[in-house]
Amino acid sequence: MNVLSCYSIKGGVGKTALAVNLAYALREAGHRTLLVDLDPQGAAAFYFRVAPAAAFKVKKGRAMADLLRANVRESDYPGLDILPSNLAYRNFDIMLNRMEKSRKQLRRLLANLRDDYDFAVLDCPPNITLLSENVFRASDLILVPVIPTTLSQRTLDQLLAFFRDRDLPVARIAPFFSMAQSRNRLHQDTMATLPLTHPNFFKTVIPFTAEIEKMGLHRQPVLAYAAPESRAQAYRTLCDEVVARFA
Amino acid sequence: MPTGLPSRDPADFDLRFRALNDLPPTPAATEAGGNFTLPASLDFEALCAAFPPHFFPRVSRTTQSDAVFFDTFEWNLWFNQLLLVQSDGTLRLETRDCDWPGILIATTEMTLPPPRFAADLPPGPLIEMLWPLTKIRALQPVARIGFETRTVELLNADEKVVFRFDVEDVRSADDPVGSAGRICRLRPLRGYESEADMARDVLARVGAVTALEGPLSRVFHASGKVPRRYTLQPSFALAPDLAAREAARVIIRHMLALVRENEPGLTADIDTEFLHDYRVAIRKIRSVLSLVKSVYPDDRTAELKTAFSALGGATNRLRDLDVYLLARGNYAALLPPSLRPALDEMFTDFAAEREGEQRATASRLATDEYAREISALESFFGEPDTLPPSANSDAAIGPFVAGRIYKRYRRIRRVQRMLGDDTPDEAIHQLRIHCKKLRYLLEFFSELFPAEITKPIEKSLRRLQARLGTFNDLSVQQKSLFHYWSRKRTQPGAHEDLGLSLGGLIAMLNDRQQNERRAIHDALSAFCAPEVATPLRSLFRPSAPGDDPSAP
Repeated sequence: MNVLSCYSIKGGVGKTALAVNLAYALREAGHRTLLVDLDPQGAAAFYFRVAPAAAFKVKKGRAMADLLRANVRESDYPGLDILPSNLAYRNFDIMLNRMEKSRKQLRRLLANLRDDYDFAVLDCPPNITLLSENVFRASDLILVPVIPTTLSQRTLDQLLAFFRDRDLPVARIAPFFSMAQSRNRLHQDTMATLPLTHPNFFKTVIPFTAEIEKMGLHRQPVLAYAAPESRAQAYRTLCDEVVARFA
Repeated sequence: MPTGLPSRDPADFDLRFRALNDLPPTPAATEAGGNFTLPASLDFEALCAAFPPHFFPRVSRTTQSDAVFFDTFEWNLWFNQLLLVQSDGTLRLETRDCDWPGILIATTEMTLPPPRFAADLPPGPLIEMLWPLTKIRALQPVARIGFETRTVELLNADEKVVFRFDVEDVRSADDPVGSAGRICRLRPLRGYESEADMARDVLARVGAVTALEGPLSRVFHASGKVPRRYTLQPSFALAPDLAAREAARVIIRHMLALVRENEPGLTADIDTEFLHDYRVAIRKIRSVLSLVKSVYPDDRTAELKTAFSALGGATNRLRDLDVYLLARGNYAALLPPSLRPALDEMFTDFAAEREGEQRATASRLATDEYAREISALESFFGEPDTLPPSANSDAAIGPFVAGRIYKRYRRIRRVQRMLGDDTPDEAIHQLRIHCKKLRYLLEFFSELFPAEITKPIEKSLRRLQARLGTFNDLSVQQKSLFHYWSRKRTQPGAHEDLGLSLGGLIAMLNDRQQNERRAIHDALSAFCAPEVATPLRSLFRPSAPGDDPSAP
């Protein structure tokens, strides 16, 4: 099972839209996929009409793994399962704190689901906490949406600095441009220059479209309702690029 | 993890995901899933209306499909609780719990009809499961069905799918008018177990029952192919005091039925086992006539023997060719690669000759003369005859056969005493014949004797016979390879290495044959050891004083 995290220090950059549509596209490409909603807002599960999970009771080791398993919900799309968020995740940090080897706890938990899925997609909360570090250590690839602005560039650099500081694998950080506007001069310039200094950037750019914004109304991944010629199909191209990195 | 570029075609997703759904289910899914039959009278709309108001059923998909079921002539799969079915471009091996559909065990993509033999399937779990069960028996279509599937999704108030089920209307392709039944296949979603429980309750209320007599049994009846046990060793329900002639008649009647049963497959050249079994049945009939001696007047016995000899003998060459062609891989493995091309030529000759022989056999079986002959035999053995009594016609079969068995065993022991490294092949051939006769006696009349005594005897005998069979095969093969060579060497255009290849092969076979001698010796010693001899003597030795109680 390959673990993909969708992560950003900054909110509102298209992170959950990425998680939802990447999971959907992976499933469409024939990969058994689990979408793990770690964001307490629970937006990823909301888009799949999955109700929040019952409160997790904090227990050690194996029992925790069984609880995770018991909370898995099958989406409307066979081959794609959801582990919905729970408000108790707010306590997840505290729980991890109490555990030994806490920085690798999430990795060990996910290992229990290794045989059930080809990919796990993690929608992570937008901050740097112990949970984030767990996410980083559990992930094979960390997808970071970057709005092509100076501020976002700074945030990306902060993340890279954090990785170097903690001796985390920098090479796993895979940024891509999100919510890009083709008529915006600043966006154009950033997209032309930033990948020169950050070669790990995906080629695919996710554009800003009203269609993606409407996911909340449809309560479906945009790929489930977008027309074949829609610019939202870029998620599929991005998915191809992601899968190719594991080939 | 599946590889390859993802496709964008929605129909494609569907197919792939059906395959994905068909992965061996998790225990939870098996527990929660299941197949039911619905009452034929149940209206589809009424079924949808039976759900509680806050659940919304919706038909998500309607597909029409057909499926072909495969099995061997002996129903090897069916009686191993398995079903092999092809539909939607996949060949699937499923369990046969009650009926169909069962739980998927192995699958492979296949749009063309599957190969006739399991050995020719693509590598994978399917061939590994099927080959040991079917070996050289052909997979034949045994039933064709058409079905229309409606997938129903049950939505909750959030319009989230919480349960799915398929309603399948099944029709036999051989009986397109009658419906074979309506199946309901539950497809619960992970994490929505309580909804699945609710749906199961609703289905039970409208009359869904666990599929005991599912559509498949009905389809089999419509197609006229009903699974039945097949064996070359049927039981005849003989009583020990039955008159010998009547016992012989009962056995021969059963064997004749087996002869007839194998005719269609032999004519259609489905696989080589039809001829094999056809010949075994005939050989057994001939054995009964000579083993149960003098149950008919001598002239009638001679007539019958001639008739059955002719029936069997007409297929001798075809069987020989089958044996060579089946052993092709073994032969090739005995030679270095450089000598194999010449052998290929020989097998091409054999295959061509076999085709001619097979056609001739099929034509012969289709003649009026054959039909007349076989039905005359059938009617003779169908009812007790009106022939005058003969020497043994009224002897009680139990004691009579016991004496024959004992006599045959003593003959085998006599051979054992003189067997050595320099024993001529002919003596071993004789031993093989004795063993075969003893085996048939034990087999035909096994019901007359306690199995706990006869089974170990038979087991030891079978071991010996396997050795003798190999020895004999190796001997016959050498002779016929030499024969092929002496015929071929004078013909122009033979492969230049043919002599070399055949010489090498004959040497290898001879070497093996000589090695078999020791194995035969050991197996024979075991068969003559007290573990076999003592129970055999106690069961079969006639108690009359004139019967030489000191021997063997």
